[in-house]
Amino acid sequence: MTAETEYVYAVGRIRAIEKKLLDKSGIERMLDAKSPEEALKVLVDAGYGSNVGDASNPFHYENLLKEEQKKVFKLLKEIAPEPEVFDLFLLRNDYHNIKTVLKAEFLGQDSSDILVDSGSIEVNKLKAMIRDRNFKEIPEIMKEAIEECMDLFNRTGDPQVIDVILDKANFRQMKEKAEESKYSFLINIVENMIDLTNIKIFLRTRNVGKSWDAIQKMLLPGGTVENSLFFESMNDSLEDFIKKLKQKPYGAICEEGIESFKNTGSFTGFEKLVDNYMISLVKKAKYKAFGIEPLIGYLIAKENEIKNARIVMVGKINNIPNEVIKERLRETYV
Amino acid sequence: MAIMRVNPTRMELTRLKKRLQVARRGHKLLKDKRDELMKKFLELVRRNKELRERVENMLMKVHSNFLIARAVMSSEVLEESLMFPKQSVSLEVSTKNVMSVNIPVFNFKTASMDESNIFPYGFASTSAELDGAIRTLSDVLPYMLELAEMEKSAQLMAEEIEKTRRRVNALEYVLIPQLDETIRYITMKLDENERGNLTRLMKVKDMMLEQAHQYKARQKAAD
Repeated sequence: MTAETEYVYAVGRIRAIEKKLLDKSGIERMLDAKSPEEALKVLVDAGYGSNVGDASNPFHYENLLKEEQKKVFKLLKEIAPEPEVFDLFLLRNDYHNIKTVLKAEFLGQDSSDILVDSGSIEVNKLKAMIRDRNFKEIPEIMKEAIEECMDLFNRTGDPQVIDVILDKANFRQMKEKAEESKYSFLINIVENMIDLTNIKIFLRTRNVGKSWDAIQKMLLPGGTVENSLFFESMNDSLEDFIKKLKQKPYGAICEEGIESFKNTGSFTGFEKLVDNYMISLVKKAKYKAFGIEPLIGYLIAKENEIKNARIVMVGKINNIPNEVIKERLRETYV
Repeated sequence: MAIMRVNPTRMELTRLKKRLQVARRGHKLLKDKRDELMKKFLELVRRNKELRERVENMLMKVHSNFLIARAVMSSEVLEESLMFPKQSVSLEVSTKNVMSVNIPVFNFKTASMDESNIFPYGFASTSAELDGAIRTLSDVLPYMLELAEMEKSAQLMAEEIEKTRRRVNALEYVLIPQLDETIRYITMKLDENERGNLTRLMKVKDMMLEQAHQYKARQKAAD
């Protein structure tokens, strides 16, 4: 943990670029665009893609978004006094790469095109390390998870175990990192993430008819909701389950999410509410003068913005009516 | 109608008559076959249409689910989630004979019987929208196989109908008239020969009579 005053410069930088984030009206302008090209233009105006040569083809929007994400992390790591804290949010990419590399290996395919090159570990290095089974430079939790994956996959041949084990390791490591950093703000975010992900997992797996044995294996460790609560709710109705979460800060959105699930039969609404909740959680950071909070706020806001941009671009390219796109858009940070 | 190049003999005539009889019977049988095939075909097509509509509706649902999943997940994560399929299907193809058409019959078996065990990805990093897509895809597969079976059958049947119809037409409009014509020609020719023969005989008889009379006349004159 570093003194908050050391963040003066970083926070200043963030305050300056925060203004460039797409606000509600910016997203709406994208939404009102008549063609994907026009929507893309709004993104370019917001500073996307200055590193990519050709941003004129809307079908390459995915590259643009990827590039933007990389840019954000690069910037944050540059200006923050403790760049390693942001690795927490990059772990997801590492684990994605590990999953991809492992699956590709088991399938005997090449999958370099779906690797993400913005992890905390350089992707080619990671690939080589897994290939050579050389885990010296890989963090303990990650290493254990990889070994467990290999062992379990060889025994069961079930590709799902790879995802399940690595997802769990991902969140465990995130929690560990957050605790290392000692920022209660971060720990709170990660715990909330774990809880909400667990609730999502529980609802989804229950919905597809998994047994408790299977669900138990998938739930992430490190949350504030006890596994026993999930177990007790196995045979409860959704309402009763949600009632038990009422005391939690996200109790209200869970209730709303269930309501939308009952009306539409899909968890899209719930997922959106979860994202909105995360944004509302970090929004408080805006009013903090110094410290790491505004940086994290900016990061999550940017990721949220990228998500929104993706929803709009996919919608625009596939000619989805504006109302349908709008239903799925997340709350904005600014 | 052209007639066949045959010798107008009595033997040929009986041969042709036999052929005509066979052709007529064949024609009748083929016509029955065609009608029956048509009936089966129309029935099949009707069922096919229903099934196709259902499958297309389901696929549309899958498509829209995927689209939303695609919108809230990055393309890499989506592809990683689906790169390693969990469920596998083994398909056995045998054939069934319907009106001399060998139509395929699919028998398939899924590797895992557990309905909830078809998702190849973890639930923490994916969107719930994928579940719906995968579930619907898994539901639609039996229908798709049935549809494939049906459409192939319809195609094979259509070919068979066309073939049969061409045969029926060839018999009805070419072979049978030709045989008829030829038979008539031979009969006429034979009749003609018969008449010619008769006339010749009469003539000969006349001539012979004449000879006999002249002889008598000359005898008279000599007396």
